[in-house]
Amino acid sequence: MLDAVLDRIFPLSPQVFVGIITGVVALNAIVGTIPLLIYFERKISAYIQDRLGPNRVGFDLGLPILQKLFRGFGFWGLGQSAADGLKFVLKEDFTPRGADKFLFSLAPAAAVVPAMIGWAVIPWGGALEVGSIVLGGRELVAAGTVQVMAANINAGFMYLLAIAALGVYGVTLGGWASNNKFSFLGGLRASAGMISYEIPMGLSILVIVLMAGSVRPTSIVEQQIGDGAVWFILAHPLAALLMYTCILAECNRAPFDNAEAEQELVGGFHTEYSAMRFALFFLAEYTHMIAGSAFFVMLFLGGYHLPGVALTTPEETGLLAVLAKFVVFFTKVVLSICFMMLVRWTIPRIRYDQVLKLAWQTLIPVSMVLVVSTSVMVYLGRTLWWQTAVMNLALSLALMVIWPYLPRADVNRRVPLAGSRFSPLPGEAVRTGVSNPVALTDNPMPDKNQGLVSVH
Amino acid sequence: MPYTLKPLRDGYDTDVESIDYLKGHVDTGDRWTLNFGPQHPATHTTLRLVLELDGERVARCTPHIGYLHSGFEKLGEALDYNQYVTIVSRMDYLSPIANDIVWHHAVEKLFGIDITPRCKVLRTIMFEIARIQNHLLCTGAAALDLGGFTGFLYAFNVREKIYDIVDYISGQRFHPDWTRVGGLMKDLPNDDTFRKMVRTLIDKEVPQALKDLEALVLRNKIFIDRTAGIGQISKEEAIAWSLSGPMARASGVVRDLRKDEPCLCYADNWDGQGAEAVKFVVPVHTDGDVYARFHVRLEEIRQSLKIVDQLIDKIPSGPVDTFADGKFVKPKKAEVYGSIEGLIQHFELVMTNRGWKAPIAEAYGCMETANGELGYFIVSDGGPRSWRARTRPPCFINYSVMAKLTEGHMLADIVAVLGSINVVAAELDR
Repeated sequence: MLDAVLDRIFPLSPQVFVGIITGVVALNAIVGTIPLLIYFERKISAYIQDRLGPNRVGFDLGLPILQKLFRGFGFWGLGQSAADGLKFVLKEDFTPRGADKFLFSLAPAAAVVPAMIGWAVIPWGGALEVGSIVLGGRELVAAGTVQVMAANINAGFMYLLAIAALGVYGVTLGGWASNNKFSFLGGLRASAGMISYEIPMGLSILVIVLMAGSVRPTSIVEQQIGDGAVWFILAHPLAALLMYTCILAECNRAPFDNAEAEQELVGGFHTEYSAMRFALFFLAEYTHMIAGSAFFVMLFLGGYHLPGVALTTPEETGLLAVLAKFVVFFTKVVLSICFMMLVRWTIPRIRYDQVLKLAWQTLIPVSMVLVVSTSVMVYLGRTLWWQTAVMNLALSLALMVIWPYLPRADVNRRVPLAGSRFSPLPGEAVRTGVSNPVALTDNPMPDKNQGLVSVH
Repeated sequence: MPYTLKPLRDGYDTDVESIDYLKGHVDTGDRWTLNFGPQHPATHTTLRLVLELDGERVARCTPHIGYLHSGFEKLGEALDYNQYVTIVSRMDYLSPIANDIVWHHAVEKLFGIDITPRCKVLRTIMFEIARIQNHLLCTGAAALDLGGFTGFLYAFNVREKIYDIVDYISGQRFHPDWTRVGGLMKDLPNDDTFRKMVRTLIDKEVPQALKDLEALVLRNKIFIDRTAGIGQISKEEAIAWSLSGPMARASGVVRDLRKDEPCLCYADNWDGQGAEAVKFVVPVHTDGDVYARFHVRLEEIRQSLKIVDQLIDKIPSGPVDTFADGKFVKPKKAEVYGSIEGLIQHFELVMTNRGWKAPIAEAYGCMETANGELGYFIVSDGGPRSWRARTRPPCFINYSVMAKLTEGHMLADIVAVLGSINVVAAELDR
């Protein structure tokens, strides 16, 4: 009886075996990296802003014996994230009155889980050759060459897009369940924004799918490696730009962080969250960043490939090669995240309606044109990397030329509203946009009836 | 009158306070009320706006003030002319030294005192540095309110250097209480050190901060999209609503009290020997939106640097107090302990029932501070304290257009407009 059951189970397919190990290792390794990323973010923002950043909190836990041991060594403030995490655990987990308790608890999980399961189809380390594992005369795992990823499914991109679409639920539910108007507005903003940006993201992925002729993540990575092949960021710079913008928006990162705009909505969807529930939202943001960046690296930055290093080519299938590939891949992901941090700490936030306008009036038409152009080029067989690169650049140039002539709505205008005391009257001159720069009037005071004297 | 003032609508009163909140209210059934403040990250201090939202559009914006009311004006009736400077310092705390100077400008107008050239130069320098101090915060906060935290810190770093200077001359970094009737609390500890500190500030630190800030936000597409055309007010309306300072000048109103009603070193012949007034130009913008206000403030910082630059190398020597006999000024400690005259003088000034005799008169003194016309109206009954010390706060009057600027815009624009008005609740509520 037992033998019959075991016979049905074993030998395991090597892909399943490696997939389970990869899933567990990657999940833990990456979640363990998030405190480090938070530390990076603090340090990067500090350097941008002419500050020092965290540099005090070490690992002495306030214990005299450890303090004596470390002799005031501060670990460059590395303990800050750990201390923050501990703080979240110890704080009061507050549920506001009138909140939907079930959804309020569900929302943080709904935010963090989709981002994490998105990692399942990321090819972290290329192919690995597995020998058969035999235990007590029974072959547990068959031999074979497998991909180091949790699930080597051929519809990998469909899965990723579907999972990315799930990410919106956590934020929206959190905003709705909090029984707070600020949270609610944040949730609404997030849902509208994330849904809008899925379209240009899907379209720019479609460009790469057209180029690669496959939706299997591993084969897309392999197409960027080898003689005459380049990373897709060189072949499709415009698609890469679109994709990266969409990832920023999907992660709710600045300049698209309208859902949690502190200056407008206090905390946005997580205004009412505290303790570990808030920490989960925080974790979800970084998890999203990692998932998005990994996605970007896989599509445009050659995945685990490092030019000139033979160990990171698909032909290498040893364990050492897999480790090297994982290191390369994850370094790229971290660099991409650091770039997100640079963006966040440099530019102001785009207003909510402008965010949507950017998606619907700019990114979607541009990515559609790009998809059509790429299809035509693929049909004509012009798929060398420089040919598509020239097409991308020409398209960008053409857009820049015709952009000023396209009709566009004046988004900053004031809208007349019923019952409003001061919204504009019909016929009131409302001008937007920057006109002349500052006019300076010189000493003595100019004649007030004359109007402006520009001497600037 | 250079401009014709006309009402906005027939039978329409422009005074927000006299309008019933619910007058003309329409219940469309799909609007909801959002209580913005008084505790909110973007309201800078404690302001409360009750917003009626149509989606994200603001249909109605009702400012409620008074959350920081501390009875400052009433205290003016309980403290004498020198003591009250400690209270005015706390009104517009972004540039406290400017409040001190304006308060004693009004008091000296009441007493008919003409201060010494050295005092005038020092006050002018600090007045302009206070303007820089205020504008740096406001322009930095303009970036902060739109989510650009970095620009805010670039501007804020330099304010710390200004605090160092204020600390050096007065002993306190935040609330200096630096002026006294007819002079200053004390003379500079050392002219050269002061000159060196100010030189570093105006030659290196502030220009560098301006450069950074401008590179980061001024030509930033996102910033322009967020601010241009937002919170617009025309020249005629700006005059009708009695706006002053950068708010008015951004709308094209050419008015600057430093030119229109000059005093200190802004007036010709300030030292009695034919010295020329300081040279500067008044930045004016025509757009009247948030971006224009931001731009005007940046330009004003430049002009203030120019003014300080003209004065800092020629601080005249001589006494800093008008009255060598210390009639209105507390004598130095050495004199108090070392001479009977000094002791008596000190006693006369410190005891509330002695003090000086003020003229029975009323006076309104105003100057152009960073936010606009700051004025004090003093009514004196001849006693040691003012009978009434009324403040004309620029914030309060500029803030009255808040509803007008924001209605019809979106929720996010509220923050941008609020930052551009530069409301300081302590001064607003007093």
